[in-house]
Amino acid sequence: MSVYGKFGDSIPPFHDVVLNEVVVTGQGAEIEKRRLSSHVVSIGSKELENYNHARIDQLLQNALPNVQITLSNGQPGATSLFKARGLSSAFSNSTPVIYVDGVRIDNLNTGAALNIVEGYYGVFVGTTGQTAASGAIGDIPLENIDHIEYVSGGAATTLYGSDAANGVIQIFTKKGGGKQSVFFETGLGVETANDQYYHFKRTADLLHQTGFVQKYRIGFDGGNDKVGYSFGGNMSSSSGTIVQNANESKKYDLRLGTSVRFNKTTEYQSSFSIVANEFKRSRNGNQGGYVGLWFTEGAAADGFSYANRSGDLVKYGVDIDALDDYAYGQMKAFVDKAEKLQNNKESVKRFQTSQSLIFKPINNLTFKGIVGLDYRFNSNKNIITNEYWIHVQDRPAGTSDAGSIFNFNRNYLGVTVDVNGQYKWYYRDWLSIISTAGYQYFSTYDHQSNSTGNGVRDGALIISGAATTSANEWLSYLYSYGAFLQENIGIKDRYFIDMGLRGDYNTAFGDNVGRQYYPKIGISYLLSEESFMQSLKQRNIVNSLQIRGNYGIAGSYPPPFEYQRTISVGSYLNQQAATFGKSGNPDLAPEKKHSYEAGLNALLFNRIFNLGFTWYYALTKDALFGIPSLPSQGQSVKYSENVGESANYLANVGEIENKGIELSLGLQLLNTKEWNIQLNASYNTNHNEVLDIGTAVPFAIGGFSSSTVQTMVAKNKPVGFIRGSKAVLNEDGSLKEVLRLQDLGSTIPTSYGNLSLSANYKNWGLFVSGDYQMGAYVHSFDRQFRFNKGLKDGAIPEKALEGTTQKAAWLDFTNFFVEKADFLKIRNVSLSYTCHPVQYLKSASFSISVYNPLSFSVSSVDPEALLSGAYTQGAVATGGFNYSSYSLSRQFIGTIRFNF
Amino acid sequence: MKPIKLFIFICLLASVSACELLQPDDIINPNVGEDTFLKSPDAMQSWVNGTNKSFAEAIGTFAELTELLSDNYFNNYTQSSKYFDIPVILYTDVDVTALQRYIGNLRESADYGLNKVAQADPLTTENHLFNLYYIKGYSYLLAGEYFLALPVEPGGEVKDWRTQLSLAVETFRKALEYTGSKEDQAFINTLIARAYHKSGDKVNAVNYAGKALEYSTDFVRNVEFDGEKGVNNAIQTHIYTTHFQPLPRLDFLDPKYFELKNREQRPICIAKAEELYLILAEASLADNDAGQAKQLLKELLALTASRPVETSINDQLEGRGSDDTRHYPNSSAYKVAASPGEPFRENLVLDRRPPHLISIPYISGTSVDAAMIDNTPSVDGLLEIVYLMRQEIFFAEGRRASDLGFRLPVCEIEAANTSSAAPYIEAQIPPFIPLGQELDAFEMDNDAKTVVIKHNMNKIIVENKTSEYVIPFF
Repeated sequence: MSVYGKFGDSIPPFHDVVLNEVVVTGQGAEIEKRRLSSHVVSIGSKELENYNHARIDQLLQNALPNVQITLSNGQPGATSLFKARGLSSAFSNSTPVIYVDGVRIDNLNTGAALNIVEGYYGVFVGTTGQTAASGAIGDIPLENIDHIEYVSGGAATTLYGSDAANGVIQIFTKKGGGKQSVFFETGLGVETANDQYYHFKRTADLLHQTGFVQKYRIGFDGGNDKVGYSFGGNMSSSSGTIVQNANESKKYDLRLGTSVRFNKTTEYQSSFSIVANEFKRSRNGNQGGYVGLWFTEGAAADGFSYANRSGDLVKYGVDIDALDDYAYGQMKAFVDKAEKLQNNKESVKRFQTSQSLIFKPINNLTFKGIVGLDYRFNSNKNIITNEYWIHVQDRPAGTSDAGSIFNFNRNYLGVTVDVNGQYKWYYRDWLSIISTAGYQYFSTYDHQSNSTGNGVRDGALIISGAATTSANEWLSYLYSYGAFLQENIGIKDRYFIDMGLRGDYNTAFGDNVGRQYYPKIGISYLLSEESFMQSLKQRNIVNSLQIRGNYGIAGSYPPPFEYQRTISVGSYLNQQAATFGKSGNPDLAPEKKHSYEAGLNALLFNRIFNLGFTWYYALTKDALFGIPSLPSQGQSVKYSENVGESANYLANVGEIENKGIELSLGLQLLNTKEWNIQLNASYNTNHNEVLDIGTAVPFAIGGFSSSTVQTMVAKNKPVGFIRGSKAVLNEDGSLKEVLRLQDLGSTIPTSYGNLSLSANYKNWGLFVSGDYQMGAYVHSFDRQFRFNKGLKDGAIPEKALEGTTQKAAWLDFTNFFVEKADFLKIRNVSLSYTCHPVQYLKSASFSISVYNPLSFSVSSVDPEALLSGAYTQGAVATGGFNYSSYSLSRQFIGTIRFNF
Repeated sequence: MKPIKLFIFICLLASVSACELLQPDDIINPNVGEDTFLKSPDAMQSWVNGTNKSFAEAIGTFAELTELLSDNYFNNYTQSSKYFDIPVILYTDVDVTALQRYIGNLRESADYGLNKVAQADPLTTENHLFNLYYIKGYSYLLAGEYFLALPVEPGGEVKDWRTQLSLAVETFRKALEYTGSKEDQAFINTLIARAYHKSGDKVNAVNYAGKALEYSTDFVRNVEFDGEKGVNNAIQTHIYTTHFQPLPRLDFLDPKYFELKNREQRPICIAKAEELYLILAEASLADNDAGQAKQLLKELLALTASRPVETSINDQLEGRGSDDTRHYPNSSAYKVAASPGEPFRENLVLDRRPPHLISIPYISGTSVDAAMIDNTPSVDGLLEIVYLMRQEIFFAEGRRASDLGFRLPVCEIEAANTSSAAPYIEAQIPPFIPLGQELDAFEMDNDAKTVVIKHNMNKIIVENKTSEYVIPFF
């Protein structure tokens, strides 16, 4: 939480100073917070140091008071789930747009279209979100950050047009210019699996190891009033918590920022960053066959055999805790080798740059031009050997033609060009007008290919020499052009009117859809500046009080090419095979989120109590729904090799409502020469409801088949509620009836928030942060699998099963496996000591940090260890399914840092 | 103008064309648009091949899902339908929707080829038209055999299954106009006979069955898959692994589809001469002519015996049951009774465990022999043999559930669009079908090496032969 913005965890500044803090995001150009009708959160570098996570989403998890961010599961590179003011789309992913120094970067937070995770025998589960998918969020470089700004989608993002209904995160990097400084940091520690949710005592022993973690960072900056430079570099690795280092990861990144002031009027700034990232994936989720967690927690071990003492092949059975030592020894060796023989590795190379020129020809007139790009190359190689297939009892011994290698490559290039100008005009003390106008162009280019070699000999690491090979290619690109105008009018420096209009065009719009316009209007009122408030101010009861309200529209554009009708051309029996492709929709337009908000910011009681409050109401009109076509229309039935061609078509038919409040509190408990204790907390509510689904019938956005369990979109229900069978029992526990396709709970929390405590005493510092949610539900498929396999489940009385078997009736009782997902998780506890041992050393600090130490939840399973969701690339993901998914690991890391 | 200004001016002028380098290229859809496709050469060949591919996938999925619905297979795994096995058929079930989509897709693909592509491509041949017409006819046939009613045009009103069957016949007749080949004639006449059989039209069924036999007495027509290109036989995965387990008395026929080499996907039969004998035998029995029926069944035995057998199938990983799943017999020592009280029969269960390789008749196989036919005097007894042979010969081809009288409803998505679907949103499950997974139930005695199946469905359908659901000629 950062009401104090850039000033981080230092002593809270005077509120006036904060209100005069300059922000950029959502405003076109720099503007003071006091003039804004919307709330811009900014987090300074010192505060970011406190959170010190390796990923931007984890870093912001406890830092943004009004956004809920959870990692979908604990596999490296896994996607995350963003929920800010609910979900405004039932089609597009809810991840905010991310900018680095004004340049839009790849924010893919779902699996990629062609990064196909093959499940059992050609069932593609990766592209349907039924495993831990990897996106592009996990490798955004975090070195050298000066501060981060966040605005939520609505009036605050109107100036981003069709791009930012989910809000904007903007990262600003350091450009140096101050005194020279150098730091060096080493962190060493261990990583252990969070095994508190395992049903079987032996699961952790079978699957987990203690991983070794190392992190090294170096940075320096400096300069003078003409030139500035700032450099940060990091390398880190972990051997992971799964046996045989099946989840090991490595990351290198560095960033350089520079600035040059040519003369009084012209300044040039630039930043470059490079990332190299690599990690391994162990089989997980609904991949079928041998999957570590499914084998253990899902009781699938029952499908595997071992040779008993007499040499007979027998099954392991469902209860792994009940195995005798001999059988368990066999199982341990089996699992160990099954993990060792997997070889699925992803790697990322990423390059970003932003170049900007600032020109101030006269006082109060500023022009700024930014050009930049984000290039990301991501590859995946999954080698499955004959030895693996034979070991996991999928192919008979002696098989030599079942080995395969899968290669995936994704090239992403995003280019941004942004030009804007701002003129400030003042008339004496009582009128000020700030006019901003700008033009923005961005393009995204996403090119993917994959190739598969089958009949590969064991030992081969490339597909050359495969008996057969196949390949596929996918391309998606678009251009967006937009122009905006913003007027901010201030009267007596306390009444402000904020107006803006963006017009834009995007090549993903349908043929019948032209330029789109997004207006906003808002007010900001500094009540504390009124004369009648001065007595309260003087008595330090009210230090400052700002009231604000606004209305605005923000959009979300459809995926490229979706509007065009196509023919799908595949291959069949060595010939081209043409079938129906996308049905197309010439009327395809962006979703439009109409948002209203009102709120206040107050600093009270001698600056001890800091309060932020917002009421919001947002209505997404023309919501995009991937509607199932009528079967009689004859669209293609199944997911073909040309991704995205299914029986669904995209149309702007929905209406989704979100409403609630956002509350953030900051308490300065102590602030003396020796002590400084701050407590921050937030509480947010959300009511999410789909008001209209047009002529569509309820449709799934996640999960499996309608006979098992799905996350759904239906009228008068929240987006992504869990649907499955509900067994209703009589009072005596016997089964009364089974109701199919019932609403079993929402995946969107009704309330959530985070908290942090920062305490400093002399040279000592303690920092604790965490977050919580209430009112959401999670389905535990692993538990239901155990029930299916015949293990007793305490929630279901014996009497309910009279006349049937668990195997036959397992899907009738799905409601018993949907659990409340309320949780409180402590993400970070760190203790630090800073001293100045020698003269040339500015400071030395020692810290011990524990990440993810504590997790309290109502559910028997980890409500955060989920399948990634998202049926297709860029699709909405709501979570909700705990299915052979690893929890986030616990890390214990000791760090030494020297500042020179 | 000063020289420096002139110089700058010339520089700027010379750089104007640089804008071109900075201008983004046009956005062009990398995928093939409809117009582009229709204008490209050989569009018809590509479209027919694509429709054949869709047809193969449809047949595979119909086999996968309807075999679960029937007594042939039980789903021991967590993938594929969990409800059809019970059987529970809901109009909201995605599997019902998927089957319906296949039918719509085949019809619309065929129509698109016949109407749009044929007009655009001068290289369209009679063979292309023949191919598209029989696929279109087959879509009506599937609708008539498996659904209560379905639309016959995009978003149209639903037509009941009898109408679907007569549309099938009409379309197959159209197909006949575009072929002279004897094999094709036998194939299409068999499909017409099959449609008449299902609609209970004995005269026409016998007539067309006779015609087909005149063209060929042993033809087989398959749909082909392409494992290398991911065009998979949907049921093969399940039956070649332990996922689907056969009723023990059909063990000797499993797996009909298998891999001899990696990624091999075996074809599924959509028509074969055996069906003609079965239709004619049922007709003879309906006419109370047991002698004629016996004669036909023996001819059928001879044909079945002449069909190829694959002798080197490695099915050693097939567990045939584990702790939680149903245990299935796994050696030839087991004898199987079709229901309690019926005699135990031998040679129905195979030895699959190492070092045994198994032999499977992959077109047609039957446990019925001449003695069984000879020793059965009654019409009902022979009718039971006919339906046993239908079950065995069409095993894993997606025909059994229709013989048992199941009919699927109109799915929710379609029903929401047309009020004419309202009477058809409840599936037809005949009252004599045992529920609660009993269709696949049996008791096994591991010491005595006996298996007693709970219900002999062939006996049960013969007992209900006059009901509207089964045995159309009675």
